[in-house]
Amino acid sequence: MLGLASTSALAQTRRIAGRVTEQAGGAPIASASINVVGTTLGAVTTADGMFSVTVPDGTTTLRVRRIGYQPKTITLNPGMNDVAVQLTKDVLELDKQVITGTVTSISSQNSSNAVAVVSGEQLNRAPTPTLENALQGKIAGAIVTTNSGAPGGGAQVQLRGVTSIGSSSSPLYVVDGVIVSNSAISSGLTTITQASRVIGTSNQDQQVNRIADINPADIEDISVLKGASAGAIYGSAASNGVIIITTKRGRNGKPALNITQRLGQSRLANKLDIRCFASAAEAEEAFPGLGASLFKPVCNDFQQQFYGEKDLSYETDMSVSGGNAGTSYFVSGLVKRDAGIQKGTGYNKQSLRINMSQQLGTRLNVKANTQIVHSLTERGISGNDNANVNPFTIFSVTPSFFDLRADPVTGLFPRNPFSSNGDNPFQDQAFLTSPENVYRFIGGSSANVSLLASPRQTLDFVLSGGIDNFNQQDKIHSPANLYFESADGLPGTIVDNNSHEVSATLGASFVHKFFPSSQLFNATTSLGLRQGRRQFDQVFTAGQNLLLGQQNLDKAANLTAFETRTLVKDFSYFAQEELLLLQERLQLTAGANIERTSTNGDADKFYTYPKFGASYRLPFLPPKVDNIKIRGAYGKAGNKPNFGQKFTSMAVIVQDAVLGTRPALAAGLATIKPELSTELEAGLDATLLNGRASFEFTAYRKRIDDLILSATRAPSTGFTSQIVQGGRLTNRGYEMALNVTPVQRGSIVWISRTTFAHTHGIIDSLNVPAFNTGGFGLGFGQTRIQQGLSPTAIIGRNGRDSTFRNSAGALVTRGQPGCGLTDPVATCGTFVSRVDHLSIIGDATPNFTMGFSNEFNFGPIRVTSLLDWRKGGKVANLTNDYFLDCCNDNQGTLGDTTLVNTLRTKQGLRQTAAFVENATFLKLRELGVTYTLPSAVTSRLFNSSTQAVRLELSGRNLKTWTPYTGLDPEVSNFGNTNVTRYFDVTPYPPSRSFFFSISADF
Amino acid sequence: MKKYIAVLLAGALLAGCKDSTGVPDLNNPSLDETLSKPLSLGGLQNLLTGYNDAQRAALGIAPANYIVFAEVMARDAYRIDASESRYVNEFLNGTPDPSAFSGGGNFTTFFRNVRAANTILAALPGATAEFSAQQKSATSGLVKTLKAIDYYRALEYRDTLGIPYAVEGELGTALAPIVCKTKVLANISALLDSANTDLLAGGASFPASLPRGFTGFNTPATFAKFNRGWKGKVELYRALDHAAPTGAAGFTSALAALNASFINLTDPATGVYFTFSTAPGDTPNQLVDNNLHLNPQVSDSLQAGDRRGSKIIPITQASLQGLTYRSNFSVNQTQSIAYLKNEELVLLRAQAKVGLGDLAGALADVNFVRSASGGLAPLGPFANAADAISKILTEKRYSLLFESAHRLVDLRAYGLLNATYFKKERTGDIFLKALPIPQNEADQRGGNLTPVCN
Repeated sequence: MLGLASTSALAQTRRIAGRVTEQAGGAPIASASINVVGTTLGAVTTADGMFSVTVPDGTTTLRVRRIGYQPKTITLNPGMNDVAVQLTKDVLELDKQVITGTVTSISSQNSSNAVAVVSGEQLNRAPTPTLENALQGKIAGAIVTTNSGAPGGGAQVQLRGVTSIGSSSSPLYVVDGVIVSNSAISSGLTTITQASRVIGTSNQDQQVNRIADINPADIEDISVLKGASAGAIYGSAASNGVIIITTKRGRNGKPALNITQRLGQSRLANKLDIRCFASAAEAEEAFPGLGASLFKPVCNDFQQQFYGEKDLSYETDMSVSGGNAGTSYFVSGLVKRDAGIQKGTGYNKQSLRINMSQQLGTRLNVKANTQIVHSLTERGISGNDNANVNPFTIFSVTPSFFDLRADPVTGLFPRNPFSSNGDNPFQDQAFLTSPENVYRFIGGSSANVSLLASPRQTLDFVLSGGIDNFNQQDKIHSPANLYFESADGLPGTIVDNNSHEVSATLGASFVHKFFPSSQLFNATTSLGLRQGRRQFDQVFTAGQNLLLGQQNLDKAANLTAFETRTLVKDFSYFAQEELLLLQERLQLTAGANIERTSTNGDADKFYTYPKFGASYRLPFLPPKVDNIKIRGAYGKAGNKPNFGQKFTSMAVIVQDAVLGTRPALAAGLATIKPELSTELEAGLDATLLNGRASFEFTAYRKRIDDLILSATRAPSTGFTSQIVQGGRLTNRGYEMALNVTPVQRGSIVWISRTTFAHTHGIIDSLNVPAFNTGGFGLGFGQTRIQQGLSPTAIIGRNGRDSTFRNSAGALVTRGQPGCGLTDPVATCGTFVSRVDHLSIIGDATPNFTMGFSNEFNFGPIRVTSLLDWRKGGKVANLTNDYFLDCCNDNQGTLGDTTLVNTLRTKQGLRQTAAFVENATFLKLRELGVTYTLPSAVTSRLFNSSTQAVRLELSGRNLKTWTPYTGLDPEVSNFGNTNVTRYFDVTPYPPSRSFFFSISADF
Repeated sequence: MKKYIAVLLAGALLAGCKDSTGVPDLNNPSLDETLSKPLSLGGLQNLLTGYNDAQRAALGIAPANYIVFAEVMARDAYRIDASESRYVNEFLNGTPDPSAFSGGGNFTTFFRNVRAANTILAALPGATAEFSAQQKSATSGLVKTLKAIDYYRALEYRDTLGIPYAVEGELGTALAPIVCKTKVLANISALLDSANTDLLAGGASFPASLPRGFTGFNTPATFAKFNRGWKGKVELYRALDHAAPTGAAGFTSALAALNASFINLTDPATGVYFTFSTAPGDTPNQLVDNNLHLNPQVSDSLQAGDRRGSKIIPITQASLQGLTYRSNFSVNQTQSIAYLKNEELVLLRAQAKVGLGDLAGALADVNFVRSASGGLAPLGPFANAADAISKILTEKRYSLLFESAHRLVDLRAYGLLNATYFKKERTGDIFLKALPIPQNEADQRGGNLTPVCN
């Protein structure tokens, strides 16, 4: 054990006692930190705001900080031993701790990166299905897109543009130091929908990414490191950005109990305009042979009938937190159900969190955070479908005069004469179930040992570890008597899909802080290592030809099974040095992560990811300006290859009970290495008008080298694709954030926050010929990967030339004299050939995104709103095509004649642009009104221990303004992908949700 | 305490360095590893079964597009699917998209199969001492025959556009040229001959077993008869080639090969079959598909009393996407699909005889099929060659319904795939003779798709 020998360096000391209170009202402030500037000395206030600290003799400067208040610096003359500190509310939350490494953080006023920090309060203003939804519109530079309207999540967070084409696209999620999984595990829905025409799993399974399991109410704050310059310390997992979630902890004081009860409802937000038929003749023209005989003068609103459920959604949150000198605790429980707008669909979640921390003596602090969560997701059928089981597929081919609903007397569902198997989605919805149960445990603990603590330096050793363990069980049951089930000759399907994933992280680090007596600088040095392991095992079994009424695999005659395993092991060393100089005006950082990963071709080779950063607060300021900081940062990070990308596999099959092997269609790359992301960012932060306004501007260049691509190969080689590596992609962009308090007069406060981000990617070079990827063929647009283009450029047809041989024997192209576009074909001569024109018809990446958040406080009433604007970007609307292709006449089953004519004209000209549409939107994401009951009422209604009771009305996605002709421009048939997330294929429609909440603090 | 931590940290550092991070492919055997080891008997069995299965899988998965596309193009069938309109609006009244499963279809699978064949052929010379020279020869003959068929089936869909040939090159090396139809047929014919030579030198048995559909053809000698059947088929279409028909010599060569095959006038069903099973891991018949319907012409033209009518099931008439249908093809999960059967050989021989002007000989073959397969009375003499061909094609339609691309190939070869021979269902209908070279293939060739012919 070390002695505290160094205290002798400060032989002359005195003790200062003080109290920290709120300027307005004088209420004591607990848990404020007091720091003696230029030393390691400090203290924390008790529940009544009191503190005492030992300081050197002579003039001493104290810095007092507390999240939610503006920090204050107080100079104490020699002999002053009592101090009263009053803090002003930091309404814009300008002072934040910004994470700089795995165990270090820095005040936001010195940060060299534009790290976005979102507080728990901002996250939870309107109840959201999952965490990502709560981030929408709140972070400049993050594009958060929901994949469909189905309950239970499924959303992608993209930070500063496309950062990979062929490897992972998800940011790294870290919860209280534990790396947690954001896997999106396919349920096996394609076994029913045949979206990918396999009995198995597919990226068209409308899967949920697992960060959905985190309870937003547990979150203290979220820090978003948008790229390599901030996240380099996370090595080969940081290229897509790092999202660091810190959960709540107990604070000193008596137990604080919060109970929040929410009740709400979701409603269908948007419908397609579906055609009504006026006469039997019209029906017969569209549906020859059936139309006239089945026509009735009614117009069924299939969408309202099917998606019109208004079940109650509820959420109960309860938390207790508190602490005394040595112990602090936070315990929370959540029970919630989000009811879907389709009968039988919904999202249930129950979560329990326990966060504890214990100080043992003066040197050891132990923390443990655990979360246990269960979720049950039932999403019904949506997305691409080749089995006539998606409701919109059937709505598109069924004329609205036919009532698909069950006969009210017999309860039987009519066979649909307009679809080959009598397919009826109302029948499917009544009997087909697809529950997805997830049981998850996330636990982490850390021990902080103070090896050395003197006024001039401290040395801490931090050992931390954590486990994220979950099981996802999908059980899809489609009974044999469903009409569509007869199609494959194997009526009845059961899918039993069990996935198990365990991620474990173990880290050890030393943190040294040094404050030399010269006070020229202070230095924080950290050094450590981290080991990670992620193991995944999926056992999938599907049974077809299933005995009616049974759900066990052994009751099916035809079984298909497979298992997929992955194991990824990482090991890294990291070191970082942070310096604060010139009275903490200049901040310099340098760090590096050296890492190896098992998915690399050479699993034993270490790759180095350095970072550098600097910031400087200007000493001379114009009037009305509180602070101006200029900053710049540079860093490298990696994106490790996916498991299996280094192998060229053989496919294994069975025929006549003999095992066979043959080369698979995809070839791997034995020498694969991580994609390398290099980011350079620079910016300016300013605080003005005594903290009433702040402005941030950041410009960046994010460059990805060694792109991992699944390059198309000529099929004549026997391979369709091969993993290749090379080429470069650069994203350039800028971000702005403007926070202002236009009104702050007594209890009337208006806070306004605006974020703006623009990013533009370009493929600088490629080592393979340009290729198209994803989608459903050129008729609906595909992503074009080509040098000089954006990585999300969409290629499609743009007309075609038809060549004819005229009577004179010469070749003429249609459109030339003598063979006009409107002339009968016969005048052109005999048909020779047709050639399609291909061109880039758009880009899926929006031009810019903007979030506009406002908060109005009028005494006890608070109104909050959030507008999310996305300008530009394209979506391929295949849903419209379903409705156009249904029937015999030109109109199809869409009601909007103008729209149909526009689409038909473009189709006639063979333009993919018929379906690739502008996806600009402005959404009213959140709107809430909160009323805090007067304390007199509170104490009369409840008991005197009740501190505050709030009533709240809130809504989410209440209104969308968009030129998009489909259900929702925010959609992705293929789930979370890098460059092909713009396909709208008969999705689960969007809903708007309303909640009434009552929340009480005791 | 410091000491303890130092030990802990040193331990962790050491563990990190020592514990190798490498993880093997946990899910599948690796191709490189397979190729790096000498071929064993067990290894051959795996690769051969894998190849046999690949050929079966090349019929198409849900539905069997190798058959369905051709039957739609040849106006035997419609596939009307609410969630996939391209079977109608690209094959019947549009142009197939070379970038999609439609226009780009029935290409990749055959070249994947050729890669599987080449993997075996490349490994054979270095095989373990378990193999006798005869067994190597027999295996070579077997695999070369199957490979020739894969090239042939790829060509059926691309016709005059040609197909890449001699695709043995390693991935990453220059692509094999696209070779014109005339030359590809000649190459396939030569490959079948070379395979036949190997088979005849192959001794009494193969070193690995074949699927049950090959029963009766699972020795080198009997498999050689299967080889000859294909040789006859290829020679016939060489004789009927538009660009450079081999003419009478070709028909003669076809006759000779067919007569050396398992052709007989006793059992029309003798032959090799793709078999299907619902056992776990195995594949059921992929023609089971409720969206697949017969063109009413198929049932309307059926002669009364034809036993082959059992392949056609009448259903309630319906009309979707502007097409009317009232019958389906009869199929179940475990029903076999003929790979090459005697009935087809006899009718191919009749076609060859017509080509040589032997209408009476052709009539005898046709009447065997009518009687043995259809239970029908014999036909009277053909009026002329055109009459003979028309009647042979009618028999082929019912004898080989939903078995291959035969009808598309014949209609095209005899110039019958047009609005004169067929009535257009709708004004915009087209008669599609071939599918384009897939977009992926075109892109990798910089758009240069001109076939070489020398």
